[in-house]
Amino acid sequence: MNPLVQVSNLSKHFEIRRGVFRSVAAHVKAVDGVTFNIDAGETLGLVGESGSGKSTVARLMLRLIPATAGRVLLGGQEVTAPQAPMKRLRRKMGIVFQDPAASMHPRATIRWSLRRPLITNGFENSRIDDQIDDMLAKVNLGRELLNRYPHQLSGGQQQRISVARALLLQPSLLVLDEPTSALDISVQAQVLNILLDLQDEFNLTYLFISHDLNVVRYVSDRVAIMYLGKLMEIGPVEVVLQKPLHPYTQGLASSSPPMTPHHRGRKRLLLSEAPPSLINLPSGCRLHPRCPYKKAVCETDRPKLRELAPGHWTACHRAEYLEQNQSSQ
Amino acid sequence: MKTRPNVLSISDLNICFSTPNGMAEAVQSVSFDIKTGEIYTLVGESGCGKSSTAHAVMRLIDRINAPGHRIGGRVEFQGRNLLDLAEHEMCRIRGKEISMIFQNPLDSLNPLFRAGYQVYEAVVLDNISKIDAWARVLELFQQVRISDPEARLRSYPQELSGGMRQRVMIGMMLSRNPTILIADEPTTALDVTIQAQVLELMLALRKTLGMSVWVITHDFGIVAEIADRVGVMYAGVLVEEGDVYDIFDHPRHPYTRMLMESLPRGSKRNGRLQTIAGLLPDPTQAIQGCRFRDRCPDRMPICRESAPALVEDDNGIRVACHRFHNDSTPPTRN
Repeated sequence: MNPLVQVSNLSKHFEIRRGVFRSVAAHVKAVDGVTFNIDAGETLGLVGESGSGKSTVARLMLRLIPATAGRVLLGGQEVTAPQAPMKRLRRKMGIVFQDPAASMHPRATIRWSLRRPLITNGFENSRIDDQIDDMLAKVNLGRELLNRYPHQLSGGQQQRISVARALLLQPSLLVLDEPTSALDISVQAQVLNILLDLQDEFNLTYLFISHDLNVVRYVSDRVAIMYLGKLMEIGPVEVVLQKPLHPYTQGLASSSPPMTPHHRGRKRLLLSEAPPSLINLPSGCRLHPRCPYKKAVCETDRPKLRELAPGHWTACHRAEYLEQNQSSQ
Repeated sequence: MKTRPNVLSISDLNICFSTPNGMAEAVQSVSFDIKTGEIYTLVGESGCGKSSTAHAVMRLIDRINAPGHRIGGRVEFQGRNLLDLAEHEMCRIRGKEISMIFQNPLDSLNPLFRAGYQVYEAVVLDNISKIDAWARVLELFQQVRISDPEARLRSYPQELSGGMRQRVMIGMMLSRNPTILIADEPTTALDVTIQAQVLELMLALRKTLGMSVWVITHDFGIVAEIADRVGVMYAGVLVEEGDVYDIFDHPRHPYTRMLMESLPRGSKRNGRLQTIAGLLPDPTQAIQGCRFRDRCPDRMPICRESAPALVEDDNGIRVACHRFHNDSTPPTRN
């Protein structure tokens, strides 16, 4: 089976211009050679700290910004091609952003915001209202919200409207960029439940971006870990988060707060310092200044993604050592 | 833990804000103590009144930022009611005895002055010589584990990373050896690897300096990581309070229980998450009875008539729930 989404060697380098002539002084390598696939009906979690490039990947996949290099294929069609029929392709992909209030027109009613994508895509006027009603029911909201304005809705209601709007055109791929990070935990639970129900009903494919490992572990089938624009590790979510073969994943997993105070004494790997600047990236492996396992080779050679177990890829020179270390415990 | 003396006693604290829709009761009859050397966490969802409680204790709610507000109750610190003090008396306590850090350190630091100077300003309030003061600033930077502290003294806030800025804030707050440090969502703006470093630092400082730390958060993970005791707030009311292990193992109040069950654990294959139906009650409407009753699966007729009192059980857990007071056995989790 062909995967629904194929991302190969995707890069985005932002230029920094300085001086009188605005000449290019440096590049910010926000995303640097990222490759992954997502199967139809699957959820890929994308995890990383701020500045890791995870949101840039989302924007590149929908071609909200142009890529510097690399390709994105959706159902075999190239999204990144210059002549790509974007209007038709965009119907197949939806996106939900972190801040639902900022992604809706503040002075237009919810009805206006929901009708917009349907009108743009030439739906018949008579069918539009029925479709909106159907979709509202699926996100557990009533029709009475349609005449309200975004600020009159709670955060959870706003985010469910965003999900409904993204799904109105029946896309096959839904990109969720930190969809629950701005929500309270009881509301987060409502939104996650709805997302899982909708996925089952429509066989949706999700790219779920989050910094919260517990949320990612709950919703995802596979997970990809990013650091400073590079993919560090990718594989089945339980395997990657339980037995990570990359020091960065280990650091991330053990930095996450525990679920109960009984886990306070757990063995932890705390990464030192903070991530370096994206303009002045470290040589070799990008993690090496913070990595407790680094060797001389890590400072000179950039590690490539290698498949250590079926479907489990990691970009670390010391992965075999980490693996032995884990199995000997 | 139980024998430790109280350093701060809040009793029957009420806070009302004036809104266009009438007076809003943000905090209602909240009472709790913070003991010497403990880490107390106040946890709750947005709008539950946890930050307002801390702001009232620090006397940061005034006529200018909240016209028409009303604050009642007692906040006892060193034998005095902080709510009765004149502003010039409060100035001697704020920063010196009780200090506070906020969610976004960039909002708390002045962008026009170097980080070291801003800490120095706090240190010289104690009438020490310039040379001693700068030595103290350097010592503080080392104490909060800022790497390359000599160079960082000369950095401007915007040149520092988020974690580093929060360390500068913590250093500034420690400069005058406060009795209590209040941290309002101290790591919410930080990445998890940096959050872990800052939480470690707070645990280490509590150990070496023996101060009390009052952490306000919405994140049960942070509670699980650092708290000794935890209070849970809902709609302006303290609904449950006790030892952190006890609360996590046996949450008594239905709200605490449901909130913990709504946290994702494990995989989606284990089933959907617990949700709490309904919305927060309108704070401008007077509420008779329990504030959680409309969303509560365990509600009884009495919940509509009278608000449950916060009653302490044999284990030192305090719960505000009629059902818990009627049944002697706490509801079990499944």
